Amino acid sequence: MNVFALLSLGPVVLILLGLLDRRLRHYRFGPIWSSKPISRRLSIRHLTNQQKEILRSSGIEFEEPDAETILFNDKWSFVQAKLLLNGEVVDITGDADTGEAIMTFQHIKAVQNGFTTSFSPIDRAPLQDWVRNFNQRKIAKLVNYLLLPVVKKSIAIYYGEPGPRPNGDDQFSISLYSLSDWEERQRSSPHFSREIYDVTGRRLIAELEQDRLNLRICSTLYTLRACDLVDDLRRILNELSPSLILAQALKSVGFRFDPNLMEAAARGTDERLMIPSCLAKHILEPVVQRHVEVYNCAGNALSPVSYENMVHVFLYSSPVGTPRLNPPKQLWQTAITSDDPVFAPSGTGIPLAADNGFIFAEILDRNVYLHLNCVRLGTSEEIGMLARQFAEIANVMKDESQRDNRTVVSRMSERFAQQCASQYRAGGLADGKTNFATVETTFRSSLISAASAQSEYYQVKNSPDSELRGREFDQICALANVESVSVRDAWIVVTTANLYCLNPSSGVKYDIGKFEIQINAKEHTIRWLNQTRRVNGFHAPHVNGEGLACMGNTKELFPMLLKKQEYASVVQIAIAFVETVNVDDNWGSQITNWPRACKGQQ
Amino acid sequence: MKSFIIPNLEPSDRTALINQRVIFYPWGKDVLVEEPQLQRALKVLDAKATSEPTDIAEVFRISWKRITHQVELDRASNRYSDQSPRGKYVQRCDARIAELIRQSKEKLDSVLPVLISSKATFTKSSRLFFIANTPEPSQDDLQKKFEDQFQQLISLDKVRTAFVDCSALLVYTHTLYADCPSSGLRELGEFLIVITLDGTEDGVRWFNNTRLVNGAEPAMNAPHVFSDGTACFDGLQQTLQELIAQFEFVTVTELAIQFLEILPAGNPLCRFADRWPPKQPH
Repeated sequence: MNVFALLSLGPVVLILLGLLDRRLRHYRFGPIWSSKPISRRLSIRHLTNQQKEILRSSGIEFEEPDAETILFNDKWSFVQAKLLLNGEVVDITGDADTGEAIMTFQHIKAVQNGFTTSFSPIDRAPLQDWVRNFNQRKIAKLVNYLLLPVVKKSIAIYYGEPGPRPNGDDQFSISLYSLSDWEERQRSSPHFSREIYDVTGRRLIAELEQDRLNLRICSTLYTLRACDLVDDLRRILNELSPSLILAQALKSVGFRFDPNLMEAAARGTDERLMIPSCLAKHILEPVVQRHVEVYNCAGNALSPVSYENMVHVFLYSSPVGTPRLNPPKQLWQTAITSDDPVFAPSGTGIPLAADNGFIFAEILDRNVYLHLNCVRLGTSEEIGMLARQFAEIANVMKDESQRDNRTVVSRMSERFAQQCASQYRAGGLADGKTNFATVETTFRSSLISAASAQSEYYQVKNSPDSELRGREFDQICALANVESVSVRDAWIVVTTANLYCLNPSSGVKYDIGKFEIQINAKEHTIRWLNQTRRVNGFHAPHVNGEGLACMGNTKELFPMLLKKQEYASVVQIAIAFVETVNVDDNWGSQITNWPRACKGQQ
Repeated sequence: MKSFIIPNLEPSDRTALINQRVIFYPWGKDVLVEEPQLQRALKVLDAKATSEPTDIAEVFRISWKRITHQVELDRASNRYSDQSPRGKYVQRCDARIAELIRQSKEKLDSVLPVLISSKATFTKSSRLFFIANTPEPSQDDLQKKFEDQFQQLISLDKVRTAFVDCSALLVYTHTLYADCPSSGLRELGEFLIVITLDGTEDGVRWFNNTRLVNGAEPAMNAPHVFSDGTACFDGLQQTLQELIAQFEFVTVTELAIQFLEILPAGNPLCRFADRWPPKQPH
C-alpha cells in the first residue's frame, strides 16, 4: 500500500471514529478520547400505561414530569427499562445534562404496520453524494420511529422539492428545504410562493394561493430547517399530543388537566372538536352545571338553540350575518395567526370583550358564540387562546351581575368615552403644516370623479341582457317600413320599404326611395343610404351625399340613443327623420326636386 | 325528526342558504338540514333531490341536481352558435357592451387609488384641523361629553343598541325601509352600522343582518351598499368623514341611517331596489 492510499484512508477513518463516538455517547460514555463519563438523565415518551406498570412493578424508579414523559434519574434504571420493555434505541437527542431516548417498542411497530415513510419523488442520489444518501436514510428512520406512531398515516418526505399539495387526509407530508432553496425557487418561479408555517403554526411567508388546504399543519409540515429536524419533530409531537397541549392550556388559565375528562370529550366527538370539548368540560361545565356541547361552525351563522339542560358553544359563528370584520392583531398579548375575517356580535346578547376591547364572544341565554376562527391549525397557541376565552366566558357566566343589560350599556358607554377621549388626545399632536383647504379640494374632486366613473360602470354593466336584445331585434323587425335587419361587422344594417315625405307647407307627398340605414355600434354613428335614387347627390332632403344628416332638432337625441344602444328607438326615429322635412332649412327646401309620389301611394 | 345531509355545496350555495335564513348545521365538509328546512333549502339551491339512508338512524344523504342548469347551458350554446341576423345582432351588442364594461371598469380602477389616498389624508387632516381649532377640554369634560353622546346615540328611534369593539362603534338598527321611487317602500332589514372612531376603513360600513340580495352585484347589503359593507361613492362620504373627525357620532349615525332610507335618484345601483321585499302593512 503506498503513501497516497494511506492518506486517502485518513478521512474515512476519522468519519468512522466520529460515528463510533456518537454511538457511544448514546450509551452514556464520554468521547473515546476522554476518560470522564457524561452524566445524563434520560427520558422516554409515549409509553403505554401497561408499560409504565411493568416498570413500577419491577421497582424501576422514574419521574413523570408530564402526561407524556417519564424521566430516569440514573443510567442503570434506563438500561433496565430498555431491557424489560424490549425496546430499541433509535436515537438520543438533547444536551449534556438531559437527553431523550427515541425508542421503538413492539406496540409502536404494530402501529407502523401498513404505513410507510418514503422520500417522494424517489430520489436516488449518486454514489459520490453518499452524505445525502446517509442523511435521507437517517431522516426517514427518525420520522418512521418518532412521528409515524403518532400521526398513524403514511408519511411522504419531499427533500429539496417545492412544498407538496396535501392530497387529502390520507397522508402526512413533510417538505424539507433550506432557506436558500426557497429564495432561489421564489426568484425562478413567481407561482411558487405559498403560505408556509413553521411547526408551531406561525406564518413565515404570506400566502398567495387561495387553497386553504395548504395551511393544515395536521397533514403537512413545512420546515426550512432540515438540519433541525429532530427538534422540529419533537415540537410536532408536542403539537400533536392532545394531552400535553390541553395540560399546558389549562395550566395557563389556572385549571388542572384531568385525563378522564379528555376521554369523555373524545367519545362521540370528531377529532377536531375533541380539544375544544375537553376545554369546555374542564372550564365551563363546572360553572354552568350542565353539559356543554361544542359545534365547529366554520364561519356559518347559526340560530340559537334552546334544548334544556345544555349549553351550546358555537365556534366561529354568530346568530346572524357572515364573518366580515378584520381580526385583531392580538388578544391578551398573544398574536393572532389567522387573518380570517371575524364575526361581529349580533347585538342581541351579552358581549364579552378582551383586554383590547375586541368583542370575542356573545352570550345569548344558553348559547355562546365565539367570533374568531380560533381553532384553525390546532396549534398549542390557538388552544391556549381558546382556553383563555372559555375562562373569560366562565367568569361572566359565574357572575349574574355582569350579564345585566344596564351593566353592559354602562360598560360600553364608558369604553366609548375612553376610546374617544384617547383619540382626542392623540389627535392633538398636529404639526400645523398641512393645508386643510387643499386636502379637502383634492378629496372632493377625487370623490366626484370616482362617483361618476362608478355610475358609468354600473350604467353599462346593468344594460339589458342578451335575451332583451333579442327582443329588441324583434321590435326593430316589427317596425313599420322595416324590411330586414342584418349585422355586418360593427354595422347594424336596416333595409326599409320605399319611404315618402310630406311637404308640410304644400301638402304634397314626395317619393324619397328605399333606404339602407347603417348604424355603427362601435362608433355610435348613423348613415342613411338611398337605394333607389339620389337627387343632386343627396340621399334624402336632410341627408348629404355621404349619408350624413343635418340633424336639426334631433342633434342630441341620436347620439344619446346610440350611446345607450337603444337601437329600436334609433331606427324608428331614423325612418321618421326621412319621412319629415323642414322646408325653412336650406337642405329641406330642396324637397320639391324629389319626384312626387304616385296617386296610389298618396 | 329526520335530518338530511346535503353534499357538494359551493361556498356561494352556503351563502345563499344563509341569506335565505335556511337553518343548517355543518356536517364535516357537507351540511345537515332538518326535515322542515329541506324543501326550502332545495328551493334556494334550485335543485331536485333523491335521498338514501345512512348508517345513522333518521339521517339521510341526498343526491341533488340543479334544475335550471342544463336549460341555461342550452340557451348559452344556442346564443353563440346562432348565425341568424337576430343571433348576430345579439352577439354584436354583447361584444360592444363587454368592451364598454371593460373600458369603464378600467376608468373606475384608475381613479380608485387617488381616492383612497386623498381620503386617508383628508380623514387625518380633518381631525387634526378640528382639534387644533377647538379649545382644549379637560379629561373629565371629555369623558362626560362622550358618555352623554353614547346615551343619546342608543336613544335614537331607529337604533336598537350599540357596542364598542376595539376602535369601532357597532350600531344595531331596527328594521329599516327604503323609499324606492319606482316601487314604493321596500323592507331592507335590520342593519349593523360599523363606524370606526378614527375614520379609517371607509369610516362607515353598513351590514344587513336580515338578508343579502343580489342586485347590481351579488349579495348586496342594500341597493347601494356592496357585499363588503362599503357604499357607492357619494358626496355624503365627505360629510360623514368630517363628522367622524369632529367626534359627532350621533349625527353620523343619523346620516348613515338616512343614507339607507333615501335612495339616491338616478343612481344605476338603485335600479334593483325592487328586489327587496315590499313593506308589509301592519
